[in-house]
Amino acid sequence: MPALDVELKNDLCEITRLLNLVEQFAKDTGLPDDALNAVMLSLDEAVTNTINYGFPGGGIHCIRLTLRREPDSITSIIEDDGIPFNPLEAPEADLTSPIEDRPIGGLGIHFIRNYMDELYYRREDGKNIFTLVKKIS
Amino acid sequence: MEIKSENLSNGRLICLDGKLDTTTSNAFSDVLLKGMDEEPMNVIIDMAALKYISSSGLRVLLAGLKKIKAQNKIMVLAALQPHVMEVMDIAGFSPLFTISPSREDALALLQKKANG
Repeated sequence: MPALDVELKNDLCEITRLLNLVEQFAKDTGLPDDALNAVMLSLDEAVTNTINYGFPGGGIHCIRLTLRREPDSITSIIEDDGIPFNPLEAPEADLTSPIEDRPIGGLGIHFIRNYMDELYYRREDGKNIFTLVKKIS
Repeated sequence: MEIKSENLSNGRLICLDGKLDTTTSNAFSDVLLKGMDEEPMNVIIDMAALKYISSSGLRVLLAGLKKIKAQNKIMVLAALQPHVMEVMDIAGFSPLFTISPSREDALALLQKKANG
């Protein structure tokens, strides 16, 4: 079962590297384009959120990402030692207000909910462990 | 990610090539918003070569739209790839923007507006 294991720093510059790694993994494992876009977007949003809000105390932290390609799905696991945050409990995004007062926050988790098929969260040993599963049709 | 900006006779043309992710959206913000501050004019954003956009990219587009409306100018998004269009739809952004199927259509639209 092909897998990818990477460690990212809590620095927004890491997102481009993350997407390039996911793209390469998709190429190596023959992942369809739709699934690749779904995984890139969901990981971009989730890791960006962790980097922006997970470490209010600052300092250098490591965010660990594991990708597993199974015949009919791709599973991503994001592990970080940031403050406890359960993305599954985040409120729904506002998608209908006029542009003057449309808040942009919340769109990330909205994308993740839309593009992923299964989401799991657990807090373990002081770590957030967020698992995202995309089925491949 | 490559961002090119050029001034045409009736507006500014910005071409995006690559992925608008959290990292690259800052550079796009600089080009789009600073350009609007320096010289208010209509803007076409050619997305034919843009293969990816995240909420960071959408945030820049929304900020640009708000600014250009305040300037009484028009911003047109042109030639969106299906994945980018889908993200715009899921975000509920599509109804907010003027979207053209191609750069030529967007240019024609600006010309029509200029002719009143």
